[in-house]
Amino acid sequence: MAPYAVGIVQLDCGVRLPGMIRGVKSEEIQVGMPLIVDFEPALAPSSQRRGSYYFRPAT
Amino acid sequence: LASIVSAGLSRFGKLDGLSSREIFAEAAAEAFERCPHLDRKQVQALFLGQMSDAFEKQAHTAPLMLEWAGLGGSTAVRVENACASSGTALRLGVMAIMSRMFDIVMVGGVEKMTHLQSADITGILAKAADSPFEQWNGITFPGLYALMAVAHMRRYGTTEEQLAAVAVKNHSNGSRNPKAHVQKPITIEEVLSSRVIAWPLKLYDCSLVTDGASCLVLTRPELARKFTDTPVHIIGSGQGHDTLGLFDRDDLTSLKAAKVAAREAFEMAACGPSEVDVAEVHDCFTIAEIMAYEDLGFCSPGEGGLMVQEGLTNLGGKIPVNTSGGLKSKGHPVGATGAAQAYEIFLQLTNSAGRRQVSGAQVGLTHNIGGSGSTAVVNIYRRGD
Repeated sequence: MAPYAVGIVQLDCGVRLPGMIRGVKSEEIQVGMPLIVDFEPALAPSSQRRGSYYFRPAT
Repeated sequence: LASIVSAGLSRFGKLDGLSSREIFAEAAAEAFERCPHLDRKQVQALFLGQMSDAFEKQAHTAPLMLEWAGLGGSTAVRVENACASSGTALRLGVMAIMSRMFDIVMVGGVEKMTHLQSADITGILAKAADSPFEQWNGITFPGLYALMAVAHMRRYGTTEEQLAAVAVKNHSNGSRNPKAHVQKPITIEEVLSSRVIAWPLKLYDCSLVTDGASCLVLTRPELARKFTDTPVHIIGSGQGHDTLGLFDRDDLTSLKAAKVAAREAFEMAACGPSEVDVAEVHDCFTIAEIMAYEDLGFCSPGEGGLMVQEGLTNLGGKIPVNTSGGLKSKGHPVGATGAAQAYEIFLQLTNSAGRRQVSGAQVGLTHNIGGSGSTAVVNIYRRGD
């Protein structure tokens, strides 16, 4: 999976979350760029499915 | 507060075929050899730092190490504060002495890590971050410190060359330490051209996965002379905490926990950063050492990169930092690191540090960080004569 980009993203309500940033080249990521959150299932170490999230450009 | 009368350190490195109990026994043996007036059976309590029982699948290690160190005590406690476990254990030892419940206690730490695969080790260490948010999103410890490095570079103009200068200095110091894991000097070019782990941090910006153990014997200051002519007094001790998750903090260029711990320790010691002659700081990644200079007040915020670049923290510089080689070169057996830092300061303040001795050192400092700065322990020491 590596290399992948991670960052700290502030939601409109003020909450900050860490997460992967996908759908944009790493060198094109800018501090302050607008992102939206997306959801996907992930496999936990216990082999149970749980929800996860990531960020991608708003456009 | 309390006095260190002896200290021991195992070899640091990839100790194949040894288990943590044998490694801790090796550290304890040095402490008792160093202090012939002290009998193992006089030690009344053990405070042991160890981060994870997942490395060896062995829990309940405090009584195990009490047994393997041959101590007489009937009180053994394991302390877990991630990479600040034995820094915290040292503070508990100070409290135990000050409480007068015990006259002589051992504090120390141990970790056996290198027998596991790199991905498993990374996974165990990542439990010390905010697991559901950070570990789950693929943010490892190199990733967390990389976020701090990016913020520091962006705000202050800190450069990758300045980060590399920390690694070069600490490897140079480690080459003078016969117990260090990697005793090999490196160059700025080697650091800059090493493979990227989490940009801007490269392989040589990261500390080592190491096996090792450390210990110190503490007593009340008025009893110290019974055991040694050269005690080292702990004159200030501070601890601080911050959010477990890095993402919950307002400032990524500094560790609030370290600043809180430093303020408490300096106030207790009634001295300031300019009086420190030698320091061991938590260089888990090169950016962490630069932030440590700033958080401890060795320089102003944003000047840490310049401080290392100008050689002010080299051996022979204004304030030598990580004379042992630090986590970077001596190695980072996580649970053992805090007490191992105090071991180095004990050597420096008893004029026993050999080829890396800081001449005339009177006051020393240790700075031990857990996680991405969720825990910090700062202790200040003065030589006893």
